[in-house]
Amino acid sequence: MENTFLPRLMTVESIISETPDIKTFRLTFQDGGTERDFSFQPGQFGVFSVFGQGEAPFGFANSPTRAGHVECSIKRVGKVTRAFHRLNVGDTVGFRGPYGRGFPIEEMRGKNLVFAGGGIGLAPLRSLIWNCIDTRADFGDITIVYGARSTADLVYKQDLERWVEMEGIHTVLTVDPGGEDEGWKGEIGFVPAVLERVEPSPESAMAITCGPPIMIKFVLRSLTEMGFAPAQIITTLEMKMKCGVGKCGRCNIGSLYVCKDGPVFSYEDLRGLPDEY
Amino acid sequence: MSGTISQPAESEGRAVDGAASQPQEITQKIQEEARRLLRDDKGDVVIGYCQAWDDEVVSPCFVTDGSQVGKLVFNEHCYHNLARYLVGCEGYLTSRFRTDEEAPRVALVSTPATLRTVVGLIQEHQFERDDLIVLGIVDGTPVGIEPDVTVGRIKVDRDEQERVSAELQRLEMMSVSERWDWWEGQFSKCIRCYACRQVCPFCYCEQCIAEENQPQWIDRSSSPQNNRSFHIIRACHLIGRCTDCGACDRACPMNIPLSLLYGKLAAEVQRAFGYVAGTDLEATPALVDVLASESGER
Amino acid sequence: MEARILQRDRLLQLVDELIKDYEVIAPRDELSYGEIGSSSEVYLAEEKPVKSLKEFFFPDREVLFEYLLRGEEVKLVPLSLPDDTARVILCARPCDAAALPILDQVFAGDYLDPSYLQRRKSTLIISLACQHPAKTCFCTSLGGSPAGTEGSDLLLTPLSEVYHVQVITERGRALVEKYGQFFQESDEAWERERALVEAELRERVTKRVDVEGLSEALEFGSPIWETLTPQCVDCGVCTFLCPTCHCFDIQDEGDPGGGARIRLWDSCAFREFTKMNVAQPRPTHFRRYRQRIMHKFRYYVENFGKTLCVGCGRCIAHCPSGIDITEVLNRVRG
Repeated sequence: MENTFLPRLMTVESIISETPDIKTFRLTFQDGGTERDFSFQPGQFGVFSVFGQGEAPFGFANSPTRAGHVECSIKRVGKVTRAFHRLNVGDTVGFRGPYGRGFPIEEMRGKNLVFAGGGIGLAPLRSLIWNCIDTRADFGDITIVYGARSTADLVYKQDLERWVEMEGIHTVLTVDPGGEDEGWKGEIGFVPAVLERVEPSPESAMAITCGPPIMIKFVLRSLTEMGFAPAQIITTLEMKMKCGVGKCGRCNIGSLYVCKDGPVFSYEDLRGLPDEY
Repeated sequence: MSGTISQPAESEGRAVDGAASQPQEITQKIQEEARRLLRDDKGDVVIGYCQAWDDEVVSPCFVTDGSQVGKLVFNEHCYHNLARYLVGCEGYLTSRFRTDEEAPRVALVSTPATLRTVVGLIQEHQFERDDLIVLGIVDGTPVGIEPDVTVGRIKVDRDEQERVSAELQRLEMMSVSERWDWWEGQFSKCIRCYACRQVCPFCYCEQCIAEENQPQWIDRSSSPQNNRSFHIIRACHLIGRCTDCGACDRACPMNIPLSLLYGKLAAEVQRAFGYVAGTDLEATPALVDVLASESGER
Repeated sequence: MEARILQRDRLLQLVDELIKDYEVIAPRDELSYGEIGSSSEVYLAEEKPVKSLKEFFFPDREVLFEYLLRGEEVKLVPLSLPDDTARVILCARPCDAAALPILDQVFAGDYLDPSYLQRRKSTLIISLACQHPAKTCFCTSLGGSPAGTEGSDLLLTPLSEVYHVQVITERGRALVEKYGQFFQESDEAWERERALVEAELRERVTKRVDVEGLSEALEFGSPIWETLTPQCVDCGVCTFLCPTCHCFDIQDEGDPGGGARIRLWDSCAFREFTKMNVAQPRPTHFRRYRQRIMHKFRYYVENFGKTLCVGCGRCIAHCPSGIDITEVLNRVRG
């Protein structure tokens, strides 16, 4: 019987320093068999570990259409994330997953997609965005509004450049007022405000947002004011997690577990939940 | 309540204002004072004891309205150290969830051990003497503050003192390795519920060393080694501070006789420095004093 | 009902026989159940052991696997499953046995827990009816009874001269047949006496709480939570002694050369439980206490159709602040 708490071993293939405190890790399975059979959905997460330091959940940042490896972006905030930041290429980490409910891609087919991301919140969105780009014909218009505190805090700068130049998707980048550097050609303003300037239509659309809680709160408000129904708005939540499989009792919001029933929720789901996140 | 710290003989016949000695009399006096304070708007909350689910069980309670005053009681089951509710990140006098201006005026029903605790907390700058209305129950043993109102007078439990003394002697007659094994046996029962820490007024640290994870000084699981680390470190953190209220003992579901350990350390502090926690508000706590003078010499 | 009779004076002999063939766990002292080496080690008292049976299926400290660190490489050493040596838990309290089918929802549901399942599979439970329920017991309000059978394979009920042995499961029957020399057939008179005894024992459970409609009545947004339990000190006594509480933590313990990943009991009462570096959804006591009550009496019901409580009353008996959960429930539902 498989023991979900026994991790698989992965090797750090590459490390990209996105910002002063965020690194993106590309990992491959040490066991070729797992490598072949492994798949996941955008929006799902894995519980990664540095042996001796502990485990932490991170969302998949790469798309399953570009598999053969796993990417996750980690912000250095505490013990385990600091341990990740000390790793070198070639080191071994542990992995359990994939866990959680991913983005409802079936529901999104044929719709216009609006992505609103802030800071490291772009990570799970990136997985979905590349997935949609790789199956472009399945979706309508794609609009991306992404911002961070400052130019230095923008993640996936290479992807952002490609999306800006890509035909068929409309990408708007922004930094908070005061966060622009010389030569910044994007917008200046908070993501919710810039989203309102872009004014995407709710007609036949779905919006997917992820970022700091305060940003999500205002994005939800903006989208609602622009006519998006709660069921049209998708987000992904973050809570302290340990087991990742809905047993340790820690990440619940009401009777739902963020690890098992989420981390992806629609705004409609959230409105029925206690305000405890 | 254990009383391993050596106390001078109880002075007999000393008249104390409004002193009472029967539990019912103390109860009545507490209720009178509480009623008066709340009615005259001299206090916002009276922290005391009330009857819980059984005659032999009391609960700490928090009376904010004159109509509830009748709930307050005092009897031999009132061992909880109520000063615990003054401090910590949700403490009545130190809460970080409200501004200082909103701090309630608190009256505290204080047993002799709690009186000594209040002295220690003031020494540690958790609050000032004027921040608290002390409804004190005295037993003739030295304590570093005067209650605002003395609501009762009780006798030191000599039987309990003797029992504890005998236990300590028994331990002291063991060899060091026998003593280590004995405590190891006790600590291996520990389930790391932290009841001992949570009921202790001196464990008010917002982030306990046991919760620190950079680095993880004390591993969290209940292995005998981890438990031993936790208990030895906690005991060290209480040296010169613990006022021997015994709440930790009572709280421990596994009957680990923790106050024996703290009592032993307190006796060592008294022997080495002549210092007894909670008996002199002006004194500098023993370990602080020693460290300051040591560094002064360098 | 299928039943046998066991003469009172033969119980301890049966225990010694069982010890030859099984690992036998019984109440050892006032604090806990534990493995016994002879019938003389069984400790039977009016009060139930402070600790429940939970630790024999869901240990308070469990090594998930070990790891060896060699520079860039890591070698994992999965632990073998607890061996399937059959175990018998003897003189279990019916409330402790009843907790196990409730815990099964979590550990034997999604993502099966192999060691939990192994232990459940290899353990037979013989419960002993409680003749002296404590003032703090309220099992009858949660669908249980001092002579309850939920979760047990066999139930011994002391009658005037004998033990009535109720055979509840196939496994229980197999044991009774294996040790047939100890058991006699039951008859109508014994059955009648048993029924009377159970009724009497149920009456002895004096603490009652109405759980009808409780789940629906509990409201997250009610202002009552804020002033409900100011005397609670946020320790973990209630959660650790509870036979159904099962929250846990996962920690790596070791040194630079290697170590082990450990699963250990944790508590929603602790401030650290939900604390992240970037946010803390339950910074105050009342939020944590609300979670405890809502989880046990509402969320678990919504998710699994069972209440996460068996009414054993340990949380009442051992709360350092004298809190009575039944009184809290009465107040919360208004």
